[in-house]
Amino acid sequence: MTYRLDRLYRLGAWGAAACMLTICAIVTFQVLLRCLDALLLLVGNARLGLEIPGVSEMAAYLLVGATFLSMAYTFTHYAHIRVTLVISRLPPRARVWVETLCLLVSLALSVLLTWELVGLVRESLEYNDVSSGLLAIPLWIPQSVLVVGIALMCMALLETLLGTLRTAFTAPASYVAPELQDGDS
Amino acid sequence: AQWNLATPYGDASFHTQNTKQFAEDVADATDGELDISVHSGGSLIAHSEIKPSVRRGTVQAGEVFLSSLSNESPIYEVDTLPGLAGSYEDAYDLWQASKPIITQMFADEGLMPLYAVPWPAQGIYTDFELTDASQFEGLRVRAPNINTQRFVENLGGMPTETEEADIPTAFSTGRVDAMITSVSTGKSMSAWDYVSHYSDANLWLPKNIVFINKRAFDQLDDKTQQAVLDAAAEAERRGWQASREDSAESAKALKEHDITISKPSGQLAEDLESAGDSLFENWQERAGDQAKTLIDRYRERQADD
Amino acid sequence: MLTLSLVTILVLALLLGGGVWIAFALLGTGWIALTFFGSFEPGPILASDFWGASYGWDLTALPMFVWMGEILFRSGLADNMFRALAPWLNRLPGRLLHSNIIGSGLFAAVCGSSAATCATVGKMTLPELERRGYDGNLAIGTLASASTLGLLIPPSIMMIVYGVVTEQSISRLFIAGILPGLLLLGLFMTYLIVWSLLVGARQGRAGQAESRMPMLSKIRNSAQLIPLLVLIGGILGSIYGGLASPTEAAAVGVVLSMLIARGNGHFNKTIFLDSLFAALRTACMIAFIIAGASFLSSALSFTQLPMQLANAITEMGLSPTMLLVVLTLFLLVLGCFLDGISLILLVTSIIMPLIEGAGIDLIWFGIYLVIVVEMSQITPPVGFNLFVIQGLTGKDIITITRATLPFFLLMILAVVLLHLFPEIVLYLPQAMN
Ligand code: NA
Ligand code: NA
Repeated sequence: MTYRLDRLYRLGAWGAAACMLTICAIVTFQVLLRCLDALLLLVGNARLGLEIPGVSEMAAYLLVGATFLSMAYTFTHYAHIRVTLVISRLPPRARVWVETLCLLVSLALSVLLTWELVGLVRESLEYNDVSSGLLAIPLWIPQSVLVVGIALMCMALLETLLGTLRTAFTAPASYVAPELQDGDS
Repeated sequence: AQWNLATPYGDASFHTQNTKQFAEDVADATDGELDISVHSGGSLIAHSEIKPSVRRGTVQAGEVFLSSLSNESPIYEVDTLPGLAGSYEDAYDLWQASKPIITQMFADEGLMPLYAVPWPAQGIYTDFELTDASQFEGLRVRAPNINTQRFVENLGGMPTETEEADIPTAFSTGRVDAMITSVSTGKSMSAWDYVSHYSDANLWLPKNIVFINKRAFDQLDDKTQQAVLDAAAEAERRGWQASREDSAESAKALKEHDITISKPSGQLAEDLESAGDSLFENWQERAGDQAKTLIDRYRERQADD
Repeated sequence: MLTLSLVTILVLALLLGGGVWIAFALLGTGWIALTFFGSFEPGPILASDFWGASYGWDLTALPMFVWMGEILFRSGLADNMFRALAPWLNRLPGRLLHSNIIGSGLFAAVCGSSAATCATVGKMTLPELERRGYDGNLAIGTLASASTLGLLIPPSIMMIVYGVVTEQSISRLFIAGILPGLLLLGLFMTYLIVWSLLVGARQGRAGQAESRMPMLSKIRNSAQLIPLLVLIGGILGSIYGGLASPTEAAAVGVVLSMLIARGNGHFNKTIFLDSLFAALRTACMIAFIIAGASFLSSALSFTQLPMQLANAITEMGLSPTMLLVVLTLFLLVLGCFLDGISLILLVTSIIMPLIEGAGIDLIWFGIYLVIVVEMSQITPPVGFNLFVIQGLTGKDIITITRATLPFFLLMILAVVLLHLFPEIVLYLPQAMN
């Protein structure tokens, strides 16, 4: 199916890609600095001892963006997995309602999760929570990123739910599971 | 009532054994009215999430490494300042002097400290004999927090970050040459697999703190509240004793595994001290008035001893 | 206790069977367990647990290795590898299916997580094996099970967790994992050979025979393996040369695989972006399930269910052997629902005194536990290797499980062997002294 907010979901995925690249870049840079030291030691000079402070801390929190900003994008590419053994054998008329139910349950849980995570962010702001490493990263930042990721997921689920409901009421017999509709994945 | 207490340390640690005894004492004193189940080894909640979880009331009680809160306030760094309090007596005075301030800071978040128990004093592990401060030149020393990092820099070493779990690999592959920690941690991490010498420098005695959610405490009746406080006082007394015993036993275990233990002396001792002193001055500036009050109170107590 | 167990299992079965996305099914089950059987508000627990499982330094290795797999998949390296290996494995029954097992064993030495091992190796081998007419189920079965060795062959995240909480030497645990790891590899390969002789060859599902090749060409052909060996050597070298920690090595792997793909002439902007976005999808899928599984584990802990079960075992007063039998059954059942780390933390925080009391060596027990955790990676409904393979192949989890079953049984056999001959575990660490 086509998603109206597809561009937004892709934007999320680009954000995730940026986080992933950053993790890879800073870790690689850190390793290169160690290689440089090893080389210097080999040719008889002293080590430089250069180190990027807080690489592990930065990477640990960038991971939130790298994995969760692409939630909706992953969903619209059918990469979140599920057990379809039973439902794939249902006739379209039944399947469309089971799908609706699945989407409803997932949407409810997503909204709930977003809501609770917003509470978490507010608390982190209230108490000025920071990470315990050298960088003292304010925790509301990565937590907000997580909220954005799950909120995008809510939108994607809602869009799919509305689309499925439309089919359920207008032409239930013509329902085809979205992952079978288009080859784009 | 049913309480959960989360601690990051495993059952083998004397801290966890002490905390489990505390939970048992409370259950005995209240005839099982208050049942505290201890979730050790980070099995319920990871270290960094324990304090927020107690604050939120997700669990009623928790235990954390006090100086892991250093980023929240310099006051929490006080038990990791090298040279300020290097014996159990001094560390106890320092804890008594800092208790009112820390209690107040915890109260601001709806928390209430119950007791704090120290780890044995921190020293320096190396795979060579440490005799001179110049040996720190170019040495990669594991520095888990900002104070240790500055301390290592003051000595001319290169502080490196290494996750605790990565330590054995880091040593055996040469990413780390030395680390600063206690005999107790050295024993539990089988330090003899990768280092040969321990310099017992008595740098500082960091503490674990056990604390509870104030709301949960207020919901208890007076008798139960008193039982909790009594058991906590007893746990603190028992814990400090256990720490001393563990220190002796761990040192013995290190020796049995052929780690050479020595005391820094002469110039090395002086250099360690002066590296610590400049750190202390820096800390006093950052921590401001509270630090002054705290240190005055500490010096007073020491004068009384 | 019984009601709670039944309700949990029923709800989870209903949600999963009904087609709810796996991560949501786990979240929903956890929520219901907490709401109806816990005395705590589920909301804050959900938030803090989901958050707690979403960040972490160790976890960063997973998306990096997944990305590396995606690059290798597009680099033409897999095809090279198979063409180089095919003439050598031609006479060995099972032929290229062994590449799953050998590949997993090699990659396990680089990577500490089984899901990452599965995703990386599978991305390279599965499409090639299918193209060459090998039995699909056996391809999946060998991959799912052999890639669990990521946990047993050092470096290993699980051993680090076990070593830290039980204060056992992590270096010793690492060394102790080597022989049992080889034992499992041997068992898997033996099974593959026997299956190919008895079943596969008759039904023509064990791959086609390749044309015979003279020795010299075989050797010349093997040069195609060099890039892959450079990759594995580079990653291992960075770890053991003190240049990178096992976690950092994952990023090294990404960069090296890009360089190799470039050298192979299979790298440009499109391939770069394709691999990156494919990795994002897989990493997101796995991370979401990890967070969901972590919430379910924690919800069950709050209801005290696993502790009560564990305490029930403690009170049985069993002999050491019986204790291990009961414990294995208990862990296999729990392993269906909890993720590996939760399983280890649960055991170490509740059952450890019992194990020490029974006089069981703690290094041995650590290895035993890691193998049981490996098994839990391939038991449904919560089995991460199954999820990864479903993501790779689109096949249903039930089909994948059925394909994995023989190897699961072999792992049980391995545990029995380790119990009968503890030296397999203890020889190397004792030789360290
Ligand atoms: Na491994
Ligand atoms: Na499982």
